[in-house]
Amino acid sequence: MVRVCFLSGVKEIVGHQEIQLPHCGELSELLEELCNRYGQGLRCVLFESPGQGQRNPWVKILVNGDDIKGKDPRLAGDETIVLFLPIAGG
Amino acid sequence: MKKLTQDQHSRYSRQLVLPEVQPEGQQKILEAKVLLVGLGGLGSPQALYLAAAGVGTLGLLDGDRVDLTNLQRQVVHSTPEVGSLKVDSAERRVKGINPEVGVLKHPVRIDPQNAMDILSGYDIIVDCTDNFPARYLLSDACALLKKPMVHGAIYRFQGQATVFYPSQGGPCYRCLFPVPPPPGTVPPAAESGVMGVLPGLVGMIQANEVVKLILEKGQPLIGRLLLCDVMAMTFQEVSLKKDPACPMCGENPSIHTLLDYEAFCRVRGETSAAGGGPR
Repeated sequence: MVRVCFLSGVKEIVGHQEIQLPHCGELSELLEELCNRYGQGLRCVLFESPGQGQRNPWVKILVNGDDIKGKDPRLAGDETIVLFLPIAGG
Repeated sequence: MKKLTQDQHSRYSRQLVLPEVQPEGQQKILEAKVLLVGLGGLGSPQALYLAAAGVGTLGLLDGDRVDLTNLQRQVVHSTPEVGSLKVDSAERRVKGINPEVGVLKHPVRIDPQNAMDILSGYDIIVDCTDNFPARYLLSDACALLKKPMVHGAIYRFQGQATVFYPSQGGPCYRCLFPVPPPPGTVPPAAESGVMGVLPGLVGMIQANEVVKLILEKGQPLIGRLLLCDVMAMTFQEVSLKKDPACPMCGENPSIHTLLDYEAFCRVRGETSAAGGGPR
């Protein structure tokens, strides 16, 4: 099972911190699945132009602790994915 | 090594017994110069605890005045101080805790014109700002000056903390967030809300990093980002790597001087008094 953790700025949109789901395939497919599950709010955060597939470059996506920086890795199905936004409150 | 006075032995007795401190470590704390950029939610508790620990020179930077809306979280300030400059309010509180602390006040907003001069007088810079332009500015200035920047940020019940120290091999803020989010992506505290305990907790994590850097003990959060969710009370640590393509600290840096960070972040007239522009 892929474990997806929603942290700063993303958790507030999806409403909880973590979900586990079966997934194999590219990361982009997982993100599309999450957007279908959580709706337009998440889609607007993740993608520059919803439907265009370009990810917003300020969204941090870590796969097993590694910043994937715009890449679209193929997932084996047992990864931990962390999604968060930059926050600036002080 | 300068000998501690009898008063100092008494004042710092509870930390002097720590193997990681001892008189040698206390001397390092007494000689340290630490700049708090921002005296809001994050900066307030740090001013108190770093003064209590005996930091020799504490720089206080903030161009704002104390407002009633600050007091639910900016614990260095108090009700009688409403209307006072935050640097003055904080200085009084710091001196009340520890008169030996040397306080340098900077009642200004950090900007590209003053940052290098101000930061160059300190050993450690603590990012307690509340806007993206100031954070990018501080990170770039610290990278150029080869100084560590202790970073903290909060949003609702979430917090982040790390130490950016690219001259020691770690990443900078741009390695983590090479592109700022558009204005409005993450609303400020006035809109999104914040409980005072969150900047208190994240501020203490930052202050602890400052102490570790001064003492050169423990494992500072260089190359590690701590993310906390205080509602779930969970902490996650993610590894941060220096980006070889980073324009500031990468293999072929292209940034050699400070920039227009409000333009970079596409913000005009929306930043607070610790950095960049009017609230």
